[in-house]
Amino acid sequence: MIVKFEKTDSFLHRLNPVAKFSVLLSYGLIVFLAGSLPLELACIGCVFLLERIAGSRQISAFVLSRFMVTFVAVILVMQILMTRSGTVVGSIPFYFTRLDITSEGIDNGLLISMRFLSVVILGALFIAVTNPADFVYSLMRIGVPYRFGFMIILAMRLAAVFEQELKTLTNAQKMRGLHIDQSGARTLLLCLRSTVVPLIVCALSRVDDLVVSMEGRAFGCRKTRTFVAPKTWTLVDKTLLVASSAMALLVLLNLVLCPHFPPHLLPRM
Amino acid sequence: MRFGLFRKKNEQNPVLTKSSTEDFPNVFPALSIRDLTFSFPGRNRPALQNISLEIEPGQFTLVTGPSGSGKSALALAMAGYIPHVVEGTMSGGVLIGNTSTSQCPLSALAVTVSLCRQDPEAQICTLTVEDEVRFGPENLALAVKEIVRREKDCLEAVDCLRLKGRQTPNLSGGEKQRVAIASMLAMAPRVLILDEPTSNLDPEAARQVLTAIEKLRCDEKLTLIVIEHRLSPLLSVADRMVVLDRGEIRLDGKPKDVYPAYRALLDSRCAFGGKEALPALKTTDNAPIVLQVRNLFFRRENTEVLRSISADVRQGEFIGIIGANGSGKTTFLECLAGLNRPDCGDVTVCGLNTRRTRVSTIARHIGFVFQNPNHQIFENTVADEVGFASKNFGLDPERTAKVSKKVLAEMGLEPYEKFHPLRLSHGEKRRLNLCSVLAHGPEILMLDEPFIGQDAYNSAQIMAAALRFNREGHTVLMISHDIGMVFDYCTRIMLFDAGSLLVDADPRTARAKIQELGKSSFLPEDK
Repeated sequence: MIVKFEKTDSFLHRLNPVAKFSVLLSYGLIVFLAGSLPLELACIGCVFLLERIAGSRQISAFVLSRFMVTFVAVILVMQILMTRSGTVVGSIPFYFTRLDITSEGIDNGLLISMRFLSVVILGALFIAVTNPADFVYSLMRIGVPYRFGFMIILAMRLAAVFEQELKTLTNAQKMRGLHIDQSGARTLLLCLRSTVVPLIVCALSRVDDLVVSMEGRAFGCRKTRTFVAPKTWTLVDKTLLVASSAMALLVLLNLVLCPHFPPHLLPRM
Repeated sequence: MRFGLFRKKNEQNPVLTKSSTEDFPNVFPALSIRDLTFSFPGRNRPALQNISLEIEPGQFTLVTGPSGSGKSALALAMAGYIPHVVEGTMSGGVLIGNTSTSQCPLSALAVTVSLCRQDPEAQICTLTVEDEVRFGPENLALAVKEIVRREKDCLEAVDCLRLKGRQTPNLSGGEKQRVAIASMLAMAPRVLILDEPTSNLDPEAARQVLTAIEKLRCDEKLTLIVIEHRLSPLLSVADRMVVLDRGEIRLDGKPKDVYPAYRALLDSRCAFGGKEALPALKTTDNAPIVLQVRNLFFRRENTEVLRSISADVRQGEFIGIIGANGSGKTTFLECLAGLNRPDCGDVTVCGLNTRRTRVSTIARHIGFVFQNPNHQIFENTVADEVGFASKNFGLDPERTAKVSKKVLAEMGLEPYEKFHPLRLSHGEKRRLNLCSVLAHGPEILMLDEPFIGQDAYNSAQIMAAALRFNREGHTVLMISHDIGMVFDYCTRIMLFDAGSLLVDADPRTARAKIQELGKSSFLPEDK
């Protein structure tokens, strides 16, 4: 399941992309540094609430997707099985030995898997409610050099083109008898060899055309450029930016000044 | 109506300094090429040789010539990309006003000369129509008000105001081409060069682009230089026609005088050896069915691309498939080749149902030539490229070598046997594609837009090869926007419209039906 930007007009969609990105960064920092399961669960709950506000169903579908369920389960199980410290709460027979399950293993497993889940789903929500081009233009408007910004815009523009070209290449190979649908190292090598060269040739010819197109429109001739697309900062955007930055700063200061506070909030079993 | 698209007479060019502005006075000629010679690195023959040309302001110049004659190199030189971007050896020069392009930075030239290239897909660099048109003026750091004005005027000039708000990847070919032209116009150039602006477009989209060009000429008195192979729609509107051949100017004058001489030049090199090509095979109703399509439906990303298509194709038929960009022609061929599995209905190829058969098995019966020649070149030498499919199908290497030699000789590519395929010209690559799908002895040949970017000589060579294959008793299905070629040689015409097979009949009946449907842009011009 791939999360994509959905064009609607919810409160979250209307927020300035930079303000949303600032919240995403602060949230990630807080989630990683706090080390508290109740906090992680609260954050996950918040994301689902925001999903409802955005009028999207992508996040719920993403969380329930096979990829996410498997990934979270693997993190949980690996932590439970690999952590040796803590009180032993049970054991699993494994060949000639036994694998002990400890309370700390369970704590760590739950904490890390929920941490992963909460960061990934907020990232997914950010993607679902933010037009990628608007985000890049907003970054350029606040001072990110426009040459870098346009690298991202071009990458987004060309991703679809290259995807289409790769499909055509694969089709052309199939029509010339290459058994792409068969497995095996030899077939894989042959397919790779027959894909990489034409794809590079096509990419290079596109680069030539793009250079002509961009240089022909004075790209890079000035240090700054005009941005017409209006992306204003409302009071809500500014408040979000300040609040999220302050929260992140507080967590960082807390980590530097009082590294042992807050204590581990996870209830011991 | 003149809509103030370009700078007012005394308006300062925002990019040029005062002194350089004075270097571009509005005096004759608009563009002057003096004894220009240019060679690409590693090439023995110069791409351009002793070119001298003076183009007056407001003149509409049509530049044509066979493939590889140096037309695109000339366009790059006129727009200043040679020598600023494209490497090579250059002598002589191009002057705009009294300033040489080689002494003027490209960014300064950008507001004087604009070049719009053949493939709009490759030159659109942003994600929305507005961003694309604003891109140039924004780079010039113009005032927002001025950018918005230019955006509106330029989109209006190419009749694309209704496209505002659309995502560029979702535009049709014709729309992309017009947006690309609008984005170049937004630079307010004095000279606009269009390199094969209609080559990728269906007849209707091509007509729209040509109408936009004509409108620019009438309303803006812009100096227009159009490089084209499709000449007939432009002959009546161009002031001047220049024919390039092997890097030199062969003919130059009024289109009515130059065109007959150019036709004679092409006829003297005709692939059919100066004779009319042999017609396609006449099939009978008793010929075996090689392709059977029953109630075919195909969806892509929740959009119905093909709906309710049924057709039988008999051995020896030569079918021309026509229709607008995005009408489902290529998807239809891909379904026939098993590359797309039907959502509903069945496709049978030489008795093999495409639902239950591997593509690589079906491919043994089909030779499929895709649109872009570079997408189907996989080997390091021309000979290996031709033998690629036969090797994959496990055919006898001796027989493969013999057949490869034969098809290469038929296509005039024998001297290049040991060359790397990417060293060939566009036309030669296209012929190589044809060789490489014929060598394994398929029963059906499928050609997807084989004439794009090909001059009359190369197009005739490709057509001759397809007709030769057909006369051996094989079946050919060909998608083409070259309506004249389709009606001249195909024995059956299929017209697609929005995923439906609107017309499926012999040329005479198809002509009447298309006329009746009011789709006259899909009818050949009267000779």
